[in-house]
Amino acid sequence: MADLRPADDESIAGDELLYIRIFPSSDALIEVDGGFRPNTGSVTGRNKNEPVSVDLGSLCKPEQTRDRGTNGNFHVAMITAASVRALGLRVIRNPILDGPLPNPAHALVIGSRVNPNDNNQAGGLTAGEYAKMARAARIIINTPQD
Amino acid sequence: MNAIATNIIVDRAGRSYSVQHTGITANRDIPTASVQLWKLEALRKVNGFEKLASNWDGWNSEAPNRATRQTAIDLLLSVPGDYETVRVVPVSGGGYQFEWSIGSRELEISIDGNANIEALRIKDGIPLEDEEPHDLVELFNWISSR
Repeated sequence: MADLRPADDESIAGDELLYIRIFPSSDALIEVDGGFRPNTGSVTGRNKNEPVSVDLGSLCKPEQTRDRGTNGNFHVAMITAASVRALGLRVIRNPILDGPLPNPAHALVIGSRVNPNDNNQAGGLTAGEYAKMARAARIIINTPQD
Repeated sequence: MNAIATNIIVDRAGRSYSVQHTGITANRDIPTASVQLWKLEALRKVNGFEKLASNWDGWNSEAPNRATRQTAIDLLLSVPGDYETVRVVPVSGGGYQFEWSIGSRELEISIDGNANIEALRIKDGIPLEDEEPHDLVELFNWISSR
């Protein structure tokens, strides 16, 4: 097994807020601590063998995370970089500088999943890591649904 | 009569186990009278996500395809026991996530866009990733036990 994961980017401060866009399905939010957290499925990335995308709060507003490339009908969850690291995950900058939707705030959360196709660790998150991240995150934009 | 298909659940350690599918399709031909209400509600959500627009998540995901949807339907119909509810959300990449919660125990089952199934047990908020895998009956016996 090869560990192909990039090192944690220590230039990202522990108190950096990481924003995650949440699709507003009826079961996406779970009430907790007087607020809401996203459920695990709502923070899961499109390819489990790859890192999951977030936005750096120092470089964008949560409304931009909600609206970028969408109709704006999304919730936004937040977790700090310190919380992510406390789960054993890493954070790196991954700005998208060209294309139809440039996003200088784009970053990646790196997990320890072993890709079953090549037996390498390339940064995807395990099911347990997604579950932990969802439980540590909190909803900061709760977009009302009809 | 439909042929019985099999899907494999693979845990983090690469151990696999199978879920048997009945091949039943959730449409007007389903004999729904014997299906529990929570399953009917979950099936309604599963079928509803068929109508998700292209790029529904802002990450270029498509709605779950027919094979993934059928896997989700078969999985739901195979679940033993009766439950108050199950959380159902679409997952980026064209998948589904089902989440059951009873007391301090949670069970999360994901189906990715290639119809691969993963299961995760959670006790007191802690994922049990290193535990031995179980078949579907054992998973639901576990979440139902106090």
